[in-house]
Amino acid sequence: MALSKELKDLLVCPKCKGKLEFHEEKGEIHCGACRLVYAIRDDIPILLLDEARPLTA
Amino acid sequence: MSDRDVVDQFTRQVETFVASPHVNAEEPVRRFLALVLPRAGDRALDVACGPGLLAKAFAPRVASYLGVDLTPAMVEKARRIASEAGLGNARFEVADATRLPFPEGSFDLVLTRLALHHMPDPAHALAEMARVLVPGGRLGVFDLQATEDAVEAAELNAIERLRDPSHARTLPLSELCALAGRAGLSVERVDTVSLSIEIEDWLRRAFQPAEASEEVRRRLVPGPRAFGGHPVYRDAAGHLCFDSRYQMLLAIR
Repeated sequence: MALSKELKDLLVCPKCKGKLEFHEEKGEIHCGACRLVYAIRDDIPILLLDEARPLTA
Repeated sequence: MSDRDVVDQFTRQVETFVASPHVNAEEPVRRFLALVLPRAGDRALDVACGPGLLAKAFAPRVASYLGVDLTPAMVEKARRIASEAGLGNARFEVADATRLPFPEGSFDLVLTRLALHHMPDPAHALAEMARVLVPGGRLGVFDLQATEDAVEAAELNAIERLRDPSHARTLPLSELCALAGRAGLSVERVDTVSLSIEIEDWLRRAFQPAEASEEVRRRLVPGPRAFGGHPVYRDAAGHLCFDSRYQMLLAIR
């Protein structure tokens, strides 16, 4: 199930409160400013700083 | 206790938590509703929503209801319960109360129930809740209550932590109001309510080692202020009980 547009419009990075990029096909949400990747697991975006990993590419 | 420990504890507790009288009792929720008075146009956020039990009372009375919790298992459970209850305007997501993934001024009403006492830094969480409120928006807090006596409050928290290591600290009403003030909110109304809790049932629901439960039993002997200022007594059936005290406040940004 895809994330709703409404939800994607609302969510921001929990760290910088900036705009997020959604890559649902990869199960990832990126914050370009913080260079962080948040996972989407079982249709739930895990927007937790403790669980984010560095954006490498 | 780290966020990870809290998530582990609540992942184990999902099913018992849903069945717990402490989170399900109707009277405290009715009182909270009467204090908060949700409005039909409200975009509501429920912080640390657990399995989303507050949504049943509040979601039908607001425009949209979003519950967030640190524990993914709670979010999944909340989604299932809301869908079974036909709450079409309720959504549930994972978020940390101290780092909410929402822009400033996203909500008209923020609620948080039985959550602050799990947080090592409740001031930080309240400041985040204030940030996501629109100016004039309302914050409704419902939590356990400690007495204003520091010695009693310390004893209360020591027993609570023995029973549940994810317990950080229950606040007295004066401190809760002061924290709301420091978060830039003005306290509009407060209320308190008591609920009789059966001690053996309460201990069973926490899944703690037998020694911890034994230590709690040793400390909780009947007396008018035996549980950190709250009464411990035997009910008509002879079960050892205590009065759990709850405090609520409504504050305006």
